[in-house]
Amino acid sequence: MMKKSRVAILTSASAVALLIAILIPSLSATGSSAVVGQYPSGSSYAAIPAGDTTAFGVTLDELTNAQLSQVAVTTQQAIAVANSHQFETVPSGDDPTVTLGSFTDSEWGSNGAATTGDLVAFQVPAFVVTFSDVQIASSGPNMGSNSSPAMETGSYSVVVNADTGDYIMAYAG
Amino acid sequence: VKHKPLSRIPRFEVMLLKRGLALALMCSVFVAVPAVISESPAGALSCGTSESWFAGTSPTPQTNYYATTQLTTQPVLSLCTTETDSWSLAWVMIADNAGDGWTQSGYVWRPAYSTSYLFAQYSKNGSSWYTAFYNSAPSTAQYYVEYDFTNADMFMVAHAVTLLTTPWDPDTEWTTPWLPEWEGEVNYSNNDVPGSQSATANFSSMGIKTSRGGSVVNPSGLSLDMSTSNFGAAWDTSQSAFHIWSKS
Repeated sequence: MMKKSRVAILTSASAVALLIAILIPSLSATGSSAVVGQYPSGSSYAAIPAGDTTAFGVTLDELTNAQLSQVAVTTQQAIAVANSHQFETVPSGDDPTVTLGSFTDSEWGSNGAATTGDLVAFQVPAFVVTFSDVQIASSGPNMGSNSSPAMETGSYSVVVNADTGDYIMAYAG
Repeated sequence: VKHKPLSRIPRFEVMLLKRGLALALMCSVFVAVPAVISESPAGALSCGTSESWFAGTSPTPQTNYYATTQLTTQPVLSLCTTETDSWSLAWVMIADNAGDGWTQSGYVWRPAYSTSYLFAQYSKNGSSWYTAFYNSAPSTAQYYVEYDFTNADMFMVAHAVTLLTTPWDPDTEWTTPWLPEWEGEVNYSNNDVPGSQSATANFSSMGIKTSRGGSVVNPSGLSLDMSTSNFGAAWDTSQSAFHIWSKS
């Protein structure tokens, strides 16, 4: 009797363990694909700093599966595009941070602006390539004295379409 | 080693000698000329002193909540390369009465690029500033900055795209009346503003709004001002259109 119940307990425990072993990976896989699919190798998502959202009206959300399927550009290609659009003074050899997500600029389309061609850039899959320690020049008003333009150290970000590889815009502050 | 007098060298050898010399001369020209030509692009253009120099309207306080212009995109005669932050701009602006803060939109030339780019910049009080860059500037575009009475902010538009909006209210942050301004600007003494004597950069359809919901009218009391005699500025129609250029 004792032996029978021991066998039953061991069998049940094994069955439960097997069930768990089968279910947990499949659950996690299901959960993963339901929320967001696998980001391309070498890329990852991180939200844009809140300060940039306030200052520039830009946001970056996680890519949907549909948007993930559009990503055809690698991180290195995005960096190359950013390097060819350096409108501020980026220190040579600066290693940028790169994040991939669904980019929105709330400024476009506001105030009745035209939204044609590249301007329709709401929620596009995009890389945001950010350089730090960038010298940013001011271009303030002419107040009569030829003083040196003020400079500040900040970050400079270039937004690159992750589908086409096109430069979208850049911002600094 | 004894050298034969030229007259004693057989004619055939003289001919060969002459041809050799000619060939050597030609080769030296082919080698030397590209070396001279290639020195120009590789040679850096000196920037001189770091100073903000302008060509355009002097700041004239007047009640305004909107400043606009049509602006032609013209190349820059000279843009220095010894400093990495070298630039040349053309823009329209509304600034704080004291000149401490500003909002502007226009286009920017940088030496590394063969085209100019649309840009906008704002600063609340001059302690920090925020800049957005967009596509290449078209040959002519409208630029404006406007105060939004509903949302209590200022937005900056270049070629029908709102590039930036202030996250603060200029009406509470700035002293009035504000300064509308239209300028070409450089940040180094050896840089040129956009435009040349034969192809000037033209500001036209200049306008301001003096009240909420008001119509666009011409600014008043503006005079033209150049920081250096190398720049030129002249009215086409007083208070409505002018052009700027660099002389060399």
